[in-house]
Amino acid sequence: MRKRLTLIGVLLLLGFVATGSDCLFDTKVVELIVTGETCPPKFIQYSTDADLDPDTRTHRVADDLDDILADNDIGKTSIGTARVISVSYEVERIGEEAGHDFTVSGQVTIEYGARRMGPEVIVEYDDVSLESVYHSPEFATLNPAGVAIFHAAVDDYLAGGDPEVTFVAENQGITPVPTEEEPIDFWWHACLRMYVTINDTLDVLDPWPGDTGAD
Amino acid sequence: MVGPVRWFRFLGCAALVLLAASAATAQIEDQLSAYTGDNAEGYLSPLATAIGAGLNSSVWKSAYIPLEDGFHMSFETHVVGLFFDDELRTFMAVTEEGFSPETTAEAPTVVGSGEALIVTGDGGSSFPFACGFDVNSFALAAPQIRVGAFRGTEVMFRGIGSFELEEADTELGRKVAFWGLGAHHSISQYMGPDFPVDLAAGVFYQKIQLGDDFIDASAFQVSAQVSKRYMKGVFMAEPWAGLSVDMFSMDVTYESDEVDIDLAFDTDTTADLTLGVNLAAGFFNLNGEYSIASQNSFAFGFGMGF
Repeated sequence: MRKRLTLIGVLLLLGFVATGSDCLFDTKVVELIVTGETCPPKFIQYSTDADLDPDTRTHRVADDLDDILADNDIGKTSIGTARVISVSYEVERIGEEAGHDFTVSGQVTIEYGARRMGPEVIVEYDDVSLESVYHSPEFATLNPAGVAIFHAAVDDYLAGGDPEVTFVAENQGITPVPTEEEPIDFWWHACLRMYVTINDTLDVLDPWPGDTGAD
Repeated sequence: MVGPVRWFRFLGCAALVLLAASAATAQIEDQLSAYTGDNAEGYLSPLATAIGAGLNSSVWKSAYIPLEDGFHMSFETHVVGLFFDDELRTFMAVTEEGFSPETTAEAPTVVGSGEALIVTGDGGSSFPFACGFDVNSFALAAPQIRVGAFRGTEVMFRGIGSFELEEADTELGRKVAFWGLGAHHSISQYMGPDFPVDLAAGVFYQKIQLGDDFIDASAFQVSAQVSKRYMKGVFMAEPWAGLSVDMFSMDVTYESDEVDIDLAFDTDTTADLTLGVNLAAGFFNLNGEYSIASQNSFAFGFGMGF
């Protein structure tokens, strides 16, 4: 009797462990989201009068997107889409020669030469105090025509290309007007916050799966 | 008494559930990283509910405690399971800072739809609300050792202790810990020998940690049970009922945009009514129960004792 009960107990244990390893998990198809930032090179601006020369920067889309994917152990082929959530800008250096703040209005245009798209405005800003955005990111208004160009470049990247886009910062309306003695002198950059969707299949803890979704 | 190898399998089974939960933490943390504050709490709240219900179920399952002082030991394993209600699959989420216009949407929680919810905004932008993992149920296995009895009192240790996983997401840390400790005292011993049922009261504290800081949850329960044993030879049937007050808290730490986000889920105090039955043959016993609480759950288990 005792031997038989011991055998039943052992069988129960083994059955529990065995079924546990198979039945605890259920395969799910999920659309994972990964977020990150892509930041074109900084703009360097200096002027001793009201005319601030446009500053042009070329940006290789792969530079930051590769990092976002690598940070999350994602291969390019598993991506569904990548799109812009928002854009922010900040001043990272202000020259001390002027000894006072400036306010600046302007825009950033984007051009994607390989597809002959643009230039179009992607970001606009109005009467921004340099000191107010010194190491303090401010969200900017996006322009759909410019965002569409960036998305086209991202799509080409995801399709295996290595696109480059050109950003041009065009500032005007500087107050007060810079002079030889009090020049405007600052470095700034903008960052595009992006998300990436990834279609993945995962084994998820769900010991009694229902019909809540795809298996 | 169960041999060491077989007992190790008990532990292995319980560890399996925690390992499964631990394996999922990396994906959960990835999805959380798009969220801060209220969104993250709403997204994770079903997980807090599940862990709380799992910890506070199937603790003391009988009011019977041997009254004669002597050494009694019981090895037990319980599996607590629950099904997620539909209302736990979504929460009202608000787009994060920087996205314009601010938009409120019914987004998936961690157990909700496997499809992310994308809302469109100004200037060609769009915002993603993270997907869930399309989960219908949750289980927590708990091996435990119950030891008594001294003056109608027994103590219980539950869990698998604390260890580090070899195969783990190093960003979250390798730590997995699950343990609990409590005491149970017979009340009916003071009611006289003719008192028709067993009555007992107990307290129990438990803690679960996944990752170095990712999830740190603790539960405390004060409970009372009533039960009645029916014996026939080596067989025993024991229906029982229990009332408990359960307290549960959970802290979550994760990284979003290289900034550590700390979430402290409010300490939740709930009442719980449990009905169950224990069946035994000789040294072996089986048990099942159903708990009616803010999140209903069921549990079953087996054990061996002497």
